[in-house]
Amino acid sequence: MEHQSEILSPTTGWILLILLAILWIYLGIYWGKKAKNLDGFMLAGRNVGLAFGTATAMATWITSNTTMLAPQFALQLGIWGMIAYSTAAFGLFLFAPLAKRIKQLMPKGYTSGDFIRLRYGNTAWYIFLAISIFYGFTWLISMGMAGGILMNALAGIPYEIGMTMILLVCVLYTLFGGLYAVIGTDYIQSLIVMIGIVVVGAAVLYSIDLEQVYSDLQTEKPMLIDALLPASLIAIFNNLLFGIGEVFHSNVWWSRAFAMRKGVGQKAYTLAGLFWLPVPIAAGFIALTSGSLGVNITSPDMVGPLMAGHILGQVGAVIVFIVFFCSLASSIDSLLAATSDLIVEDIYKKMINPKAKEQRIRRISMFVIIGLGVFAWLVCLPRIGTLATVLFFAGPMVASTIYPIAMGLYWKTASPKGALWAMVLGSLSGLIAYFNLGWYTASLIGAAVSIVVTTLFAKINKEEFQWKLLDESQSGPNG
Amino acid sequence: MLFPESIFELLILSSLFLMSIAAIALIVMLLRDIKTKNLW
Repeated sequence: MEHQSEILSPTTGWILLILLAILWIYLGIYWGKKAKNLDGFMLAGRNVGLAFGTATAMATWITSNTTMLAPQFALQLGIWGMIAYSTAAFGLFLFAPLAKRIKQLMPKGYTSGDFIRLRYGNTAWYIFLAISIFYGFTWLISMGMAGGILMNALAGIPYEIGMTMILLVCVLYTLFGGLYAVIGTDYIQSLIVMIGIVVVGAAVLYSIDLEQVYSDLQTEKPMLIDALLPASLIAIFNNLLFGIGEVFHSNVWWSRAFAMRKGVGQKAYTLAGLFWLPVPIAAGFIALTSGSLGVNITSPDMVGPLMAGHILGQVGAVIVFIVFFCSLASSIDSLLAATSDLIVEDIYKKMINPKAKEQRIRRISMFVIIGLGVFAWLVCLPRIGTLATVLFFAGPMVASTIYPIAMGLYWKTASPKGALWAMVLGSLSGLIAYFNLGWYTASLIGAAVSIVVTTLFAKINKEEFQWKLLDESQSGPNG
Repeated sequence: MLFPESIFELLILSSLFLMSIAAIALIVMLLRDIKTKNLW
């Protein structure tokens, strides 16, 4: 798999890598100066405006999984595969009203774990933390791997070195700047990624006729333009639910809801969804042109970079390298910050040392960010499976959290037992489906079981939850 | 049953068009936030 068809020389790759590293680390240090207290470091001062709010939600959702998996989806599942990937935007759309509700109910909250603990109690909280932290690791690892694969495919930089570099850069600037650095760099990264994808897409359109692509697909791979491809149709619902589950439960999105200024969250998430919707199609369609352009794809997760390099040559390859680097960094930094918040706030502060002072918490937070980076690096070292295999394993688990969270925010009768069993039974049934039916059914089944269980328990439950208990600044740290 | 060619083309062209608009909108939003001192 090494050096399959790099489009940049390793020297150019290294120069770009070092320049980008210096830029992001410098910005991390620069914006980090704003983080004068814990709220600044963890939540960017809770006053983020619409432009940064929209860009950070969008950039974080544009991951290696969008820029690398979307072409893979297109190559394997055709047009429906790209549309299926686009449905992940609904995660952002549907989270928009929740972001408003979260800010309203928990003006001083820190993490999604805070909500589950206060709303459903400790047992459900432990299960939720296990799911959420496992998912965070899975996402982080899938992107560390993607970083290595990308740099190897584009510039022939050995997988281990490329992966190490991208993790190191993200750890450093997140460490220096906290959420200020993450959100600030996300804005620049989102613009670079959008402009880059449009440039690559336009170059593809310029170099090949879409009529020709369609006719080649019709004769060689008609399955890819089949309007009734069953696996793809199931993938739409599966991806939709996986996307919603990812956004609803993950602290990556909750921390942004807490970080945005009052009145901004709903608008920012709606706009981010709108801006994100076309990305998987714009990034994915180039894979469908591979046959017409005579590019031999030996590893499906490399189809995006290989195609872009083939079409754009040297100058274009530089753009592609930067775009991929940005799409990875914008998510890795967010995950490092949000997962560290979850570990520090929910595990260290709430379980281990409730009396810890702000300075101590910030120091622990920095150790956790480093620890997360080292852990991800160790797991990424042996290149295992394709990106889809790694990521979709977490799908049923996160899908099982959708309903406990959505109902927990709006229904007073949603009960702790219901949330607990919804997450346990939803995850188990989804994982059984994952192994026995296929990855594209797992989230669907996990979410369906979770919905039934949460609803049944809520119907039986007579007790009504008091919303004011969610605001710890009013009710005290122990609720 | 296959997707009609026109839908195939429309899907791709509209996605690229929407992304261009999104990039411009993000820049406009940033300028507005800077002007109104609402960046963060």
